[in-house]
Amino acid sequence: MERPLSGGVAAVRAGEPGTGPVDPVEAQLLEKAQRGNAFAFEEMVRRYQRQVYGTALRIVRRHDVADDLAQDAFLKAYRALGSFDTQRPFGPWIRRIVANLAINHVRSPEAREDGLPESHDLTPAPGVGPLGGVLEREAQAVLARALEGLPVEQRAVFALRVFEELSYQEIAESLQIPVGTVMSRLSRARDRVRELVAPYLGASGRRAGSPS
Amino acid sequence: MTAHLIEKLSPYLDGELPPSEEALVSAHLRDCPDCSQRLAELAAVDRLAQGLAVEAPPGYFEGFPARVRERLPARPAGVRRLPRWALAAAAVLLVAVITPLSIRERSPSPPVADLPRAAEPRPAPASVLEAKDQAARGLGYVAVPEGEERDARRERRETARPRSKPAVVSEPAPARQVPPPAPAAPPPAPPLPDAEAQRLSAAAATPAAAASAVKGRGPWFQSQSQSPGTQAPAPPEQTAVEERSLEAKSDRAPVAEVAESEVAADKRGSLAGSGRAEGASAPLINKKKKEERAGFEDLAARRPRNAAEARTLREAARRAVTEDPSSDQADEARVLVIEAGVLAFSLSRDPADLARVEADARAYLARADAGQVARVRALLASVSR
Repeated sequence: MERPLSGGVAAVRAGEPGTGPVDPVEAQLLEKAQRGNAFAFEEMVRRYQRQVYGTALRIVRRHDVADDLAQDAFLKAYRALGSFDTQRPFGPWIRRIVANLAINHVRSPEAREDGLPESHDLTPAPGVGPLGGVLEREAQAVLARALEGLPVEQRAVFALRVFEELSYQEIAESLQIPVGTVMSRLSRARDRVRELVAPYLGASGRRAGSPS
Repeated sequence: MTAHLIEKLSPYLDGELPPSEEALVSAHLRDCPDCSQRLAELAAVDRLAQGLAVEAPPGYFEGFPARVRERLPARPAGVRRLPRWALAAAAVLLVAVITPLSIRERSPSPPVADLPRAAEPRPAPASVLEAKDQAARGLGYVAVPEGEERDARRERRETARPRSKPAVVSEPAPARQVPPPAPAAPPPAPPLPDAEAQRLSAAAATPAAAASAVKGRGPWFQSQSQSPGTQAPAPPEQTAVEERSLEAKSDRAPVAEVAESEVAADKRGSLAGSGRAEGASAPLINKKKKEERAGFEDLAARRPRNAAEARTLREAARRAVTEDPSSDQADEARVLVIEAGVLAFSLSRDPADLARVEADARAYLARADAGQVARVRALLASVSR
């Protein structure tokens, strides 16, 4: 099955949300879904499930919760589909929905009772990366723990920016906070993570990050 | 290096600073190795984070779409289903319902002879009440325990003959048009959950249904021909055909499939009944395109919950194509045949279902007028792996 999402992230990064190219097949699927065709919507779910689940997991850090939230996000999107402009990219919209659900969950008393998970579901990816080999895996393991240690507000902003590649304006709209708050939270989150991960960053990693 | 500038490195990295500030940071970075290194580390952290894999349990994503589908409500909110003219159509249908009733009071002719039985409240099994509850929560199809269903099926067969019964009365749809709907009346057909009833109700409330009532044809695909008998079998024959196919399936046939077909048969019969009773709504035929769409949407909005229901939907869509292959909706219906077939196979893993999908998809892709080639190729690929 086709993997997501040529239009979504690229469209967001290219300019205003929704002004980028939209996959005509997806627009057609959404129009069918708007008329109640569950198969068409299921196909959209199939295309976006990894992103939606990933966004949820990166914020809530627990598989069972991320699973619930991902399902809820698609249901919420389906219910609101009647007012969705099918000429806008679906990806940013559904990711914003799930990010908000995830943030609301983490803020809820129920989530605080859950406590921190024993193990993290964000794990180092084998193989590729800027550092390579053992050092990279160590750095990623440290990074995963560092992200888990962030306050949820910072982690949410970090996830939306770094994983979902939303603009500050989009993050501000998603979380209903001022752009300045997005900027300061992200800056603090990155600094905190950087401090913990920096010892594992080799010289190549540092050079690779140099500004052009 | 100032604390102020450190705070600017993150937005600088993202290109989110106003041009004037960006120029300041760029100038500073040229002279400050510490800030340059810090910026490089921030960028490295981002890339490292992007390399983190999101892990889910094995097979998680294979079952996820189906779990979402099962929870979908009948139709997205905010989509207008019943435009204003539909109210007029509903009024016409009301007349269509009332007329046979009044005819019956005057002279109980054969077509209405079964009316009391059909309309008579039967005690609903507990499972049906549960089914109603679930359906009311928007679950759509609900499995009914097989024994009860068989009994219900037998009972429905017995009461359903002759098919000339005015099944409009037995169908809950028109009753729902009357302002206080009759919640006290038990469902006349046990396997018919509320959601399905509402769906049928929605269909019946559209001119599609009204027009089909006039023409005595199924609501999904309408021909503008004024001689429906030459284009399609009249409803009694049609239902008889379905009955025969049901008989052929008999014990092996999944319960839900039979129930579904009978619902469809009832629906056609009911519409035909009202058509015979009320022939004055001819102007509504002009709404053909909208009717087709509305009727098809009701077909496509079904929520199969198991392989049997998926097969039923597949065959219903196939019938819709056969009934009117030149319809604007025929392309959609052909794709729906494949979509439902893919679902049936994914739920059953039955090679026969797979073979059907492959044959249907190949036939579709060979059509010169295929409008959704990419979609069907993707569907085919999804089962061919």
